[in-house]
Amino acid sequence: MSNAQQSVTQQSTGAEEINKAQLAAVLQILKKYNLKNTEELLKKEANISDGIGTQGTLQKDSNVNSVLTGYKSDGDPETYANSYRELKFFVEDSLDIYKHELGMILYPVLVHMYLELVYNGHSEKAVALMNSFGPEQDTYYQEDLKKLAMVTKREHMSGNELADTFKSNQFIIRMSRDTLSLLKRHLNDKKASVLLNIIQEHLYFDMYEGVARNKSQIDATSGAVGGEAKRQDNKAKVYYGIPKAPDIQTLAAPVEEEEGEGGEQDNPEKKYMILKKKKAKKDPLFSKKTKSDPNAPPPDRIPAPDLKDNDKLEKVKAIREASRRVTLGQETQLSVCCYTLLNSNNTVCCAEITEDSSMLAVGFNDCIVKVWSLVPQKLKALKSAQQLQDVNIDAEDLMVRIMNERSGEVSRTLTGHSGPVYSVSFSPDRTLLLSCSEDSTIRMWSLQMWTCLVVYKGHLFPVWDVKFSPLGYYFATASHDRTARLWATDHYSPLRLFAGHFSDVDCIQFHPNSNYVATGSSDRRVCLWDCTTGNHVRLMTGHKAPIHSLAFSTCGRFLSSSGADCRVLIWDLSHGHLVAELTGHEKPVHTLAFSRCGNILCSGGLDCSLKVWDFSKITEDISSEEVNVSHNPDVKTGDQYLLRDFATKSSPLIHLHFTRRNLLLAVATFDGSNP
Amino acid sequence: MNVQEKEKLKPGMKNIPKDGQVIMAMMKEMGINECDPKTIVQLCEFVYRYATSVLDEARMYANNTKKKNLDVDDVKLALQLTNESSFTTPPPREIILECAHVKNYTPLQPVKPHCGLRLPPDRYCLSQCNYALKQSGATYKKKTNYVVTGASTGLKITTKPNVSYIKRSSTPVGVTKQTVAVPKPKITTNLNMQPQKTVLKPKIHITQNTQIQMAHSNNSNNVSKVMEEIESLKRKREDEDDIEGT
Repeated sequence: MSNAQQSVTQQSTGAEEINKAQLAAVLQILKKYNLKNTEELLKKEANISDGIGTQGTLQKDSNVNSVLTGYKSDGDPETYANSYRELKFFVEDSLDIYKHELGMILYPVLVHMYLELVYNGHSEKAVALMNSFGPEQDTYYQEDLKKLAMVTKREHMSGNELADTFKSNQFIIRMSRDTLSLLKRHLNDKKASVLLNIIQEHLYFDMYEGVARNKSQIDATSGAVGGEAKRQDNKAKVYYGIPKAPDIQTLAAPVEEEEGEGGEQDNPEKKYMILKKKKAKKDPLFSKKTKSDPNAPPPDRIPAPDLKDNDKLEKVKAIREASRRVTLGQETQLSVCCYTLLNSNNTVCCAEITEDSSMLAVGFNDCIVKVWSLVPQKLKALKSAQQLQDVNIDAEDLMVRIMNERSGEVSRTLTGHSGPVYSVSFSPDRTLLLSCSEDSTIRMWSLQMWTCLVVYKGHLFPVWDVKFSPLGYYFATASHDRTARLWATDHYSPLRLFAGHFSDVDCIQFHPNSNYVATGSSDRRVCLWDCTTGNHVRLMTGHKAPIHSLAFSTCGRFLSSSGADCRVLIWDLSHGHLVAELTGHEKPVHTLAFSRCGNILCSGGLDCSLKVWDFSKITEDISSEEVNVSHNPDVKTGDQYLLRDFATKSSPLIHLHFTRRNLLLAVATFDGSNP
Repeated sequence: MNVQEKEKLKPGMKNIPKDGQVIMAMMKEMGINECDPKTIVQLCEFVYRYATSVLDEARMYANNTKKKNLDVDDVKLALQLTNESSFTTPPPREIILECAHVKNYTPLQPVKPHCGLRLPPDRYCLSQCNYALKQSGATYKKKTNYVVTGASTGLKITTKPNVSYIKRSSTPVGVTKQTVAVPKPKITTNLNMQPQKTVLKPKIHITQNTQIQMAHSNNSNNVSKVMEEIESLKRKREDEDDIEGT
């Protein structure tokens, strides 16, 4: 089970050349900082005379940094095309079982050859290389190649995100031991120094024991910027289970005791009765949940805010509602209620519905957030300070009394951002709303006063997504600055910085147990981060285009992701494997939702259709298969899981939400321009 | 006639001005073959505005060196500076990773028991009172233009040519502690330094636990008058801030 790095070793004159150049660079640095003793020592040890060190190998125009980037090459520009062609023939001529795995090195080698040529000033050669071999790469790389083809001068390289990524990170390729030894043998035979350099410097082979993979297996996990995920990335243990809810049974007990002892509550008898009654009624329901999940994190793994009486009452309400829930499945089809936003074409950025389905918030690109009430109760504001003085604080319906009855409105507008609002998120207790915007701030609004309370600053670039944790208190954001951050409402600066993506982080989602955060990025990778340490614990590759939406399954074990590649992928978080690929959408998929019972997955997107997938069947098929860390399961595909397909009238879907009773609420914007 | 109309509707290259055509050519080179006609208009607009702003800046540099005409170096400098300020890219991944490592080193703190909304310290919240009352000092007395009627409330408002301050006499009679959280005036006599923006309203009108009590004044008219004046001053202050900000 040695999974140590296995890099191609080689001894050639090329390597010595590089060494010399590097030494010279180090010498130059030493000189720059006036470290004379060290410089002399190094010279002595390396047997370098002054002449060679500074003027000999180093050309004057190339500065220190450029040498260290590793693209400095004395290779003859003519040899590049030939050595690529040779490599290609070698791949094509090899045995069928190794062919596809070997083929994986073609793309990174081509990219690095191109960049090396550009860097050394052979623009025409580079363009010719790209034109002759670019189009034959896999289709999902074409977009990137197009972006890279715009880099034709050395000055362009520094500003190009992709070129930077390729330059400073190794491209990761998973390969079986046999394939790798075959490749090594070939490289040693050929002694093509250009190729050897690139493979040694810029590629990383993650070797595994076993049979080489076939084309479809490779295609399933390739496509991300920076190559595949290393096995090391997915080794850490993930507590994906849902902890036993600190449920009313345990909740009600302390409350009862407190109040029984003649506590501070104002109306102990009444509340006591309510709770007792509910407890008695719901007992059978709670007992189902009492078995604890072996994969659940310890309850104190992440500091959680203590529940207030209000939260407890809310939970009781939620459970009561849940008992009337319809269990969906193949027999019981789901019903959908779609809210269509009219006259809002091209102005709506996002939408969100509260957990109890009572409010809808929509973020617009003209900097405002609008909140609608979806229930007959109107949106009321707090009374003014003078009036609040008259409110009897001992009253049991205090929360009702402090609201101004006459201020009820069906919708309210929140103004304050100075850029398009890209995402909004309600707090679980529905008193707060978070919004994030192009102006790089996150704002927290009070839904009682209807004003902005706090402006969280920290990101330096547009913030694409914001999500409240299921616990409340914490929230997470994703930004163009390639980071995701974890915040707490009472901290002005972020608590955690999740860094590692190569490109924008486009979407973010809290695990139902709040211990983890999943992010989807434009680098086509999905990442799972541990909130306690800030490290990534899962890295999943397989998407071929930016990711727009993420959703955790109700059980917490699976993660579904979707994006511009029009597919919905299901990942198993226990080992980080791709387990299913749901195709059928024709345009980018922007929203995903799991039913409350966990049997159904719904996806909706720009193609104006809502697809319903049988998730319980997927999990059944998976559980019948033996899965471990090293063995990749076969990816389930096909239409066998598609249950229903709802079409809307030219209204792209932007949000999906299951009510507590499993009715699906969809939010769509009517696009009147192309009926 | 029908034919003519059709020809007009056709997005022919001839109908589009030269700049638009250039932009279309650029987009084609970038691999964008199809787009909303509005896009071209908007990009044209961007090009014009960008060119204008760069040239404006270049002219400023030229004026600064007392040259009569723009030359290439001015434009180059302007381009370089606008590039640095407006076309920024996120910091390199390595730096972010380092920051993350430092940040994530501290463990998550336990959540403190708390009543009500969990908000950051007041100075980071918008609910905070963000104006300062000034101790009325001898230096101001001469310049006082008017004193609010009902001086017994303890609130004196002075106006100055540029800046207006709300002053509090040394013995705060009518203003209870909760009313206006007065950061102990570290008298900032420097008029150009305005430490905080004046937005008065939120604390007083909305929050539950704040209230204005005018102990020594039974006349409610007085109160409202003072309030009005504070409001108007506040507006004035804001206007001034805006002007300074631009």
